[in-house]
Amino acid sequence: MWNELVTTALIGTERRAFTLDELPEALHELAAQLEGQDSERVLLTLAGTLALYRRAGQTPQIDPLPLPDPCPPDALPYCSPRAGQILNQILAISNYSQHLPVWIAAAYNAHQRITPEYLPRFLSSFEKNQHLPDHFYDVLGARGRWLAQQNPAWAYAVLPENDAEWELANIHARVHVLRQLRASDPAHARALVESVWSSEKAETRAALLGAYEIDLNLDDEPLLETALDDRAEAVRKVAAWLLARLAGSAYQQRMIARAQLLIHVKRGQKLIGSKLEIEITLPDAYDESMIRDGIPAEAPQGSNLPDRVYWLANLAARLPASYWLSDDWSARELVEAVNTNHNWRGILLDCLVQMAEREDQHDFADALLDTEIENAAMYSALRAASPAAREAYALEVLQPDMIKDTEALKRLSMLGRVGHQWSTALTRAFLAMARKEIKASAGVSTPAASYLPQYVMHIPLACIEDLRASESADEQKVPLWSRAVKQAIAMLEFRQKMLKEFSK
Amino acid sequence: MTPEQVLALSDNESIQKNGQKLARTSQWKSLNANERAVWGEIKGSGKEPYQVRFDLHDNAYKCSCPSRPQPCKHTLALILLYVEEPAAFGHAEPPTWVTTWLAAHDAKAEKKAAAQPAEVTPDTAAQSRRIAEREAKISAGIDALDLWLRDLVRGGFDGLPARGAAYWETPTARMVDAQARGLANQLQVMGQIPSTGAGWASALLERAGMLYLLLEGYRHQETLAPGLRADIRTLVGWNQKQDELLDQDASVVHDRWYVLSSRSYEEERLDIQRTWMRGLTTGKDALHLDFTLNSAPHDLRLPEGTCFEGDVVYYPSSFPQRVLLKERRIKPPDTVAGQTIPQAVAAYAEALSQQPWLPLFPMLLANVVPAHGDKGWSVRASDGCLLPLGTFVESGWKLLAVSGGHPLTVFGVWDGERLSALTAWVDGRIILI
Repeated sequence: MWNELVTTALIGTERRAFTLDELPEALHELAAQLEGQDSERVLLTLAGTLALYRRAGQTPQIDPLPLPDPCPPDALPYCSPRAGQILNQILAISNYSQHLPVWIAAAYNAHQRITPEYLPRFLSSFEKNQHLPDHFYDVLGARGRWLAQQNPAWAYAVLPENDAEWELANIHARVHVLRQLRASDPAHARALVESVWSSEKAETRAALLGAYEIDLNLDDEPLLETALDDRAEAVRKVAAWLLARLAGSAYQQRMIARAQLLIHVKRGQKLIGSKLEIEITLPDAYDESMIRDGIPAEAPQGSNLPDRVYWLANLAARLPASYWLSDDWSARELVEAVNTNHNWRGILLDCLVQMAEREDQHDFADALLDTEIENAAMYSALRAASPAAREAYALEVLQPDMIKDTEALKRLSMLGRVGHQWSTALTRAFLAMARKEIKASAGVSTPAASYLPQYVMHIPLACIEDLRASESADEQKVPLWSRAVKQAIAMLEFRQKMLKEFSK
Repeated sequence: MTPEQVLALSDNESIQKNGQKLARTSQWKSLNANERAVWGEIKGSGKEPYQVRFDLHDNAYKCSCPSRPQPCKHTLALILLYVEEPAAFGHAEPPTWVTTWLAAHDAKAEKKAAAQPAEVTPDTAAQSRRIAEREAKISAGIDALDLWLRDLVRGGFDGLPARGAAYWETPTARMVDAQARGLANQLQVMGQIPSTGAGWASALLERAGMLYLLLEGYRHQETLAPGLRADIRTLVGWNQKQDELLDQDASVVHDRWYVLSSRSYEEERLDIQRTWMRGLTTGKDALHLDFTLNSAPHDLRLPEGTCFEGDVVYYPSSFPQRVLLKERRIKPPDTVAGQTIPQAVAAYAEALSQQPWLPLFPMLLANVVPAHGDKGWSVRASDGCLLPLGTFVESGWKLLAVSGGHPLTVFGVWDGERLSALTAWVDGRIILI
């Protein structure tokens, strides 16, 4: 009956009549009352009544299909509702996004996971990310991983549970599982990668190989040697990098053998106080075996290095720390010798920086901070340097009697880029510099104020009081500084409140 | 209250954030409480500290700061502190700025509660003339709409999708002129339907038919029972004066009320707060509406899960839902029990038989599992029985996340086709969906 009415309504009563043949019994009386009325009135009245009749007569639909299995229980507790709300704020307000890794790390360290109601927003916010923060899968908990299975857009967050699933899983999840497995069951991890090695895309091979940095050891060497012959450059690069840092690898031996003809470090002739000397011989010819080990045959376009120098630089950069060291001298002495070597200073410092970063050689990195190297190299050195040496690197230009504003701000920004957490001393030195800046320019110029927002994540909570003191002392004079400090205090208080939620 | 419920008093994230920030004793000049109220002084941007007070009996609050959104951050901070660190509060005698406020507050509540015939505006000749004029305008408007609707079905719906929403503007404006705002709103909704794709003609015919019945009902209102008559007049656009309501033989229900949902919605410049409650003894549902203009603050927000004891006054209706709140006393939390899907659907059918135009029907469903399939989201019982959920995708995922695929209790409002889920109860926690 309803369809009959809808058809007429679509075409119009002036062009189509409708029959009441199928009218439900209950409406017959109404239809009789309507007799003699114009057909529009009859149509509208019956439509309204029938609509009501249908609506009130509705019975619930039945879906016989089974529901997906419910989420298994999780031994780890949820974070507090307040911690969940804080996470929600971080995800919703872009100013707060810097706090996200801190939140995740705090939840992970407290062995807690995200309260379920915030999981959809959390999962959505990483849908398009190339990199997931550390401990991402841990804080998702069983509930988050279960939820991710229900939405294809969140497949990246589904962790495979066995080898067959692992093969088909999203690359993020595969690498995560592989890294864990390398720590817990290295033989299984190797077997897993070897079983799929020949069938994976280059991009995937490179990503899987990247996980070998976890507990790298000589058992990994056969696959890494195979990967040196890979058809994809990305894979060859990862393999060469890993082999270069693998102590005792044949790759290291090959590099050392090449270097022994070309690079010599030795003590000068004088018996006491003689300096280290570095002797360099350029390679005569390119040896085809070098290309396999990642040393390019030609300098790239635009490089002004002669090929022979370029070969040497590439070779030296792949040498292990042990080649440069001896019982007779320290890393620092060697770095100083290189730094004063007139001819080879630039190239060799660069090689040492690469080595220090690759092998986490703090002593080398610390010494390299005192040399003049380019910014990119300085980042690498800072990454490998000890926290104390990083602090000293910044404090050097923040001494009360010799503050160099521009250089100090640059160095502090570099420390920020490598994730260095400031000490109280460093924070105070920075605040002293800001005060001096304000005083010297009579409050006109405060570059420190514009840098404060990017430093604030590295300032320790213990320094909130120092910032408060700075804010109240300078408030009247420089609104710009005062505002920046107020915002910084707010960020620190937010972090404090957040961490407090996890320390209960 | 729990800290979460305190935060839920405001739906403004920045106020919640700042309220938490100020919830530290060091921020406050003074903090005091007795069994009736909590009060404190906090330094603000003005010279004098702000005076913040909170009535423990009915959750009313006031702060002397100039903040427009209410509750302000000071109010939230004060209540949070009281909930989290009651020991930080002294027991000083309440100062005059607290006592006068409480007295004024009590007086207002009494005035609201007591029907005072003497204060009712006298039914002057001028007023009845205004009413008669409006009656005439509306009647003329209804005749015009009747004609327009009949023209619509005579010509057929066929060309409507191509004509767009503009086609509906003329009759809508005509109803606004006729002071029949309710009918204008109906036309606005109908104007959207032709562009909704498959099934639009059927959906539009339903609406047109129901609207036509409403016009007929209005014409014959004298023959109808008072409740249904009130429903029809409200749907057309008459407002019921709150004072009149308290005078008339409106039904007062005393109960312990459980707040199922309290949300604000923006409609043009109007901010509408809808609070759904269930009487724990009577099982009656009640809807409290609060309207403010230009995002002015609502007087009060009762967080989900709040229980209070008191009288509500139902607006006259054949299926009474909307209420006024009279005096109320906050009570300790309690639990509510949900229904099965067939029970809720049967209750809806029963409600429709009373009030055919009922727009929203509250449902508290126990033991349902959220599910999604080709036809979108639904809540399902273990026997496969289901109700489709509203089309807002994010709420489906949130509901699924909190359930983990296990059964839970859900409160939502049913519009005849879909359930808008608003609140869920899981493991003793209340979650806003």
